[in-house]
Parts: sequence; C-alpha cells; structure tokens
Amino acid sequence: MPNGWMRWTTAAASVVCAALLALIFFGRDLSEWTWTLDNTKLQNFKIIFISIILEALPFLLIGVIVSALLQAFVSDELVRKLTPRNPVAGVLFGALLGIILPLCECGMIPIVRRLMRKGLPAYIGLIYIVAGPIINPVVFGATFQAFRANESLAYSRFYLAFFVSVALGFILYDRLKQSPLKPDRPAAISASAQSGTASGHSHGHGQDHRHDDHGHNHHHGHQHEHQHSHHHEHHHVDSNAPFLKKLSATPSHIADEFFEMGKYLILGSLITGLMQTFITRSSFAAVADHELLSHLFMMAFAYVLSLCSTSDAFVAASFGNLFPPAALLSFLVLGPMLDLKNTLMMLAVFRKKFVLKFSLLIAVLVLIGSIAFDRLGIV
Amino acid sequence: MPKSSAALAFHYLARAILLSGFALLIVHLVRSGNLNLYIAPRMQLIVKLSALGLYAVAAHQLYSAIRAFFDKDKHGGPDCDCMHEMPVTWGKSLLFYGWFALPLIIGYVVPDGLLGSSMASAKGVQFAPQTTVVSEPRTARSETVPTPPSVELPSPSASAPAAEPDPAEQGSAGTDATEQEATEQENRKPDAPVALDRELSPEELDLLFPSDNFTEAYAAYGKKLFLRDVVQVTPKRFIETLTTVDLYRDAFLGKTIEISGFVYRESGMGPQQFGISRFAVACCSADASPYGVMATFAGADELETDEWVSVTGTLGTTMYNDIEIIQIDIADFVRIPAPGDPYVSPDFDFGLEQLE
Repeated sequence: MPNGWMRWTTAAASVVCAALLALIFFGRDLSEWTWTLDNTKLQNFKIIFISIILEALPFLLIGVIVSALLQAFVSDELVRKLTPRNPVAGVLFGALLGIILPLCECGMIPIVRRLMRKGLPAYIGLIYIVAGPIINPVVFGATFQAFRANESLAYSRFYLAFFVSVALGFILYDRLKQSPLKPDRPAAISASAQSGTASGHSHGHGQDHRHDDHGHNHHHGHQHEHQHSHHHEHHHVDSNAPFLKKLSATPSHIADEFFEMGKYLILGSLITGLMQTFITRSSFAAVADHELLSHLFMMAFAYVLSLCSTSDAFVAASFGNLFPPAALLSFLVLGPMLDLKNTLMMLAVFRKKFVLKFSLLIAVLVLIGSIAFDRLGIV
Repeated sequence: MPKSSAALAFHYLARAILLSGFALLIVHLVRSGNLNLYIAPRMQLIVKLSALGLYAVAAHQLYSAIRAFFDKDKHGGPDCDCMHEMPVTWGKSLLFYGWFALPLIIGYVVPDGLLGSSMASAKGVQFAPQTTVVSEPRTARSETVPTPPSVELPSPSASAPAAEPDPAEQGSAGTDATEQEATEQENRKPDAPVALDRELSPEELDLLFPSDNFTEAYAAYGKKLFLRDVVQVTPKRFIETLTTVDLYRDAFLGKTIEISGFVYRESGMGPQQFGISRFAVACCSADASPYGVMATFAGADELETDEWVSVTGTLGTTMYNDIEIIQIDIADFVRIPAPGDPYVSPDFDFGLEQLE
C-alpha cells in the first residue's frame, strides 16, 4: 500500500470522525443551519429510513445478545441433544418454535446462524426464520386486532404460513445437502487474501459444515463441524473457563455481530425508505382486479415494504378496499417470510445462490398456497 | 493478525463512536420530543432501552480500544476478540464506518418534518374505513335494514361537550345513563340540531346499529357515540370512530362531527373539497397508513395543504372515485399547531371492554 494514500485516507478518516463527533454534539444546532435541505421528499425519506433502523435496533440487539450468550454458555453438545432427530419432528419443531421464542426477523438471523454453527440442522433453522415471524403469539394478537371483522383471513394467514413452512421444511430436508451458511467471516477471508497473511482459522472454517441433516453421514458430519468450531472458537468456548471470563467475551461478540448485520440492515432500510418515498399507491391500483397480478403485486409490495410482522396486518387492512382478501393473504404470509431487509440480512449469513433459490421457493409456495386457499373458499 | 495495536485501537474507537452515535441519536430524539415522529408510543420503551444497550457495548469497545492501544504486545484486546469483522485497508475502513455514519448523519442533519400530504398521496388516504372491516361496502344497507321511525330526528336529548376527549367512556361501557347525566349539565351548542324529546329505546338503537360477530364492537361503540350531540373523532380512537361512523353512516347523517388533522388534497377532489387526515402508525412510521375523512367547505381556499385544523361540521355523504363515502360539511374550523404526537395508533383495547 503506497504511503501517501495511507496518509491521505488517515487524514480523511479523522476528518470524518471529527465531523461525526461535531454532529453528535451539535446535532440540534446543525438541523437549523441546514434549512436548505428542507425538502419534503428528503424529510419523508429520513423519517422512513431512520424509523426502520430505530425500530430494528432493539430487536437486532436482542438477537445479537442472545446469540452471544448462546455462544458463551450453550455447548454444541447441548444443542445437538435438544434437536429432534426425526425430520417430521424437526420440521414441526422449526415451524412452531416461534410460539416459545417470538422474535422478529432482525433478531432471528444472528441467533439461527449461531445455532446452526452449533449443530442445529439447517432445515430447522431456516423453517424457524420463515415461520417464526408469523406463527407467534404477538403476531397472532395483532392480526386478529386488524382483521377483527374478517377472521377467516386472519386464520388463513396462520394456516397458510404453517403449510408453506412445513412444505419448505421437507423440501429443504430432502434437497439441502450442503450447509447454506456462508464460509465463515467473509471480511476476514478477503482481508487475509489481500494482505497475504492467511490466518488459518477463517479458511479452515470455511470448508466445514458438511451438514448433518441426512442419513449416514450424520455422525461424521457432526464430528467434522465440531472440530472446526472448536478450532476456530477456542478462545471463547472453553467449557472450563470461569463464568466471568465467558461473560467478559460477550460484549465483543455483540459488537462484532452488530456491525456485521447492521450494514445490511442499513442497506435494507435505505432501499425501503426510497421505495416508500417515491412509489405511489395509485400507480398500482390497475392490477387489483386481475387475480394473478394482484397476488404477485401484493407479494412484491410486501417484499419492498419490509414491515415488521406485528404491524403489517394493519397496513394490509388499509388495502381492504383495493385488493381482494386472497391477495392480502399473499401479502400477509410472504412479507414476514421474505422481504428486502431480511434478504439482505440473510445474504450476510447464507450463500448467495442459496438465498436466491430459497426466496424463489418461498414465493412460489406462497403464491400457490394463497391461490389454493382462494379457490377452496377458505379466505 | 496483521494489525498493529494502534490500528486495532482505531477500529475499536471507531466502533465505540458509531455505537454511541446511535445511542445519542435516540437520546436526542427523546429529548427533542421527536421520537413520536418515528416510533409508535407502545414501542418507544424498547427503543429507549436499546439506547442503553448500545451505550454499554460502546463503552466496552472504548475500553477495548484503550487496552489495545496500551498493550503493545498483545493485539487481541482484553479477551482476544481477534477482530474478525474489521476491514483491513484504510479505504475499506472508511467505507465500512462511513456506511454506518450515513444514517447518523442523515439523522442529525436532515431536519425532522412531519409526514404530510406528499407521503399521504404516495400511500393513498383511506377515506372509506369501513372497507377495512367489511369486505362489501354497505352502500345498499337501507334495502336490507328497515329504517326505524326515529331516524329523522336522530339527536338525543343530551348535549355533549364540544371539545373534550372522551376518556370518560373508558370503563363506563354500557352505562349510558351516567354519561347522560354528566353531559346534560353542559351548555348546548347554538347550532346543535333539534333535540329529541324522548330517548331511544334499546330496541330502536339495535335497529339503527345492526351487527354481526364482526361488527359487534363497532355497533356498541356506535350506540354510545350516537347518544352524544357531537361525535368527536379523538386521536385515541381515530380509526375506530371513523370506521364506526362510516359503517353506520345512516344513523349519523346530519350529526355534528368534530375532527382534527392535516389538510390533504389530491386530484379528483372538487375545488371546495379536501381531506382531513392523520397517519395511523402501529409500530414505526414505515407502516404509517393515512386515514381521513372528506370535507367540503365554501372557504376551502383559506386553508393550505398540510395545515393542521380542527373542524366541526355536519356529516353527509358524497360520491368519490365511484364509491359513496362520508363527508363533513364544515361549519367551523380552527387552525391548530401540529400536535407533538401527530400519529394515531390502532386502539388495542377497542372492543375488549365491551365484552365485559
């Protein structure tokens, strides 16, 4: 690296830091100086963008804290012992886990990744990511509140979510032969590749996870992963380490994961904010009458809105005059399973190709399911 | 690890600054009262708590930075975090931390504005809130429901206060008699409709407010509203009140209604028409959905779009975008400052107290 470049960027970095500090301490005054930026669209964008981040922060924090605690205090053996062996039990476990662990997707992804690294079969973790944000008591309450007059739609949401996640679970169980997790620590890998100082643990870890959710290789798979994670995490997961030492490692993990997931959260919020600011609802009322289009449209809409599953029912209810209930059902089931924000967060954790296939599979299942519900007269 | 301890300290420091930046942003919004613009009240506590959590993590990162800087030999900080996520080159660091600084800069620099007409038109104001409850608008209601004789004089004897929120009705469900006693002492507004010299019997009320399982709560609430001289659309029950009035519009036609919100205009409205709207927010403003009621006023020119007003007027209906919606014929308006808490929330208790 040329020396001048380094000096220049150092200076730039310190200017940014100083500016940031100034902003932090004089934030209120600055808002008054910047009246030239007083533009409605910009303000609207700011409100959406910042509100999504603020709303997601607590859940992201809960997620990374639980993940860090799991890392420090729950052994891989325990996770494996508690995991159902039977695929049917595993699928049901994943689909209904949200009832005991009601989390939204921002908090879920770091926890599921941690559990998968500790030996939770991938299909169970993925079903939880998909079903958990819908099949949980908080969302149940909110949905019935919003659709008090259309209870069949509220029930349909949970039935369809359950069917889709169970179907997804069996497909994943059957097809997923490889861990969907990204090779560990992409930052460290690219970093070491660039600086030419490969540090063993990241490369080694990247090749692990020949996963364990299929037949004969079961035991072997476990062993393999076990070795690696121990190799990699030997600083932290020392079962003999004193309690306090374990606890003291927790904040670092929290910060690590916060920054790792956070960059995708910011990107998701940014895009969602732009979409909400610049796309108008009247531009799409035309598709409402067409059956397939109305489903596809509401699914796409749920995807870009990236709402929390506790509040999307109210938004869906406000569409009651525009779209048929079946299209609302597509919106209500797809949105929590799949949206822009959570796709980006999944990309932080899972392989790109996998995320793509997985997302398409969910979309197709939801579409088929909600059209079937419509035809059968359930909605 | 290739990093020098000074570089490591820099990374920890940057992270500490960013984390505390987010925490301070939350504190800043709480102190300026602007958190209401972003987060619905019921979710605010958890956001405030997250500020504490962020501070704690930031403090730990700062501590690690100091440790890394002074422990020249050991690069790992107090517990050998090994810095998995840290970008290596300066350029990458700048991009990475700049990315996190972006929401902070936008958060601090761009002034806080209310969501108003421009966002409302992007999202589409819900002028027919009954469609959120029943899938078929009840425009043909009068065919199925026999109109009771009392409907021509739909005003009960009691007069309600004109500008008082209705916390009193909480907990006094079904005890309309007490409410009447309380309100009878109030002065009657001069333009109030002619009072009925007898009270409606419960049977007559039931005829006016037919309900099924789905609309039970609205019917019960409608009966209570009906007994007042002025129907107040309070912020606490903004959506529920508008929905009830829309659902049982036949009963409420000609009644005086009072509502506040911002002036909303869109193409397709007549020159004297505008909407009076508020955003309903369940969690955060990303899920904001604008609800409103159409208003017509001869002096509509006087009111600017996005101005906040409190209006009183008579309830009627109008055709808009091929459906019949309720409309207020404004008799009186007052300009009001935008409330510090501009959004309304769905009332999570609505319908529950009537079951008791």
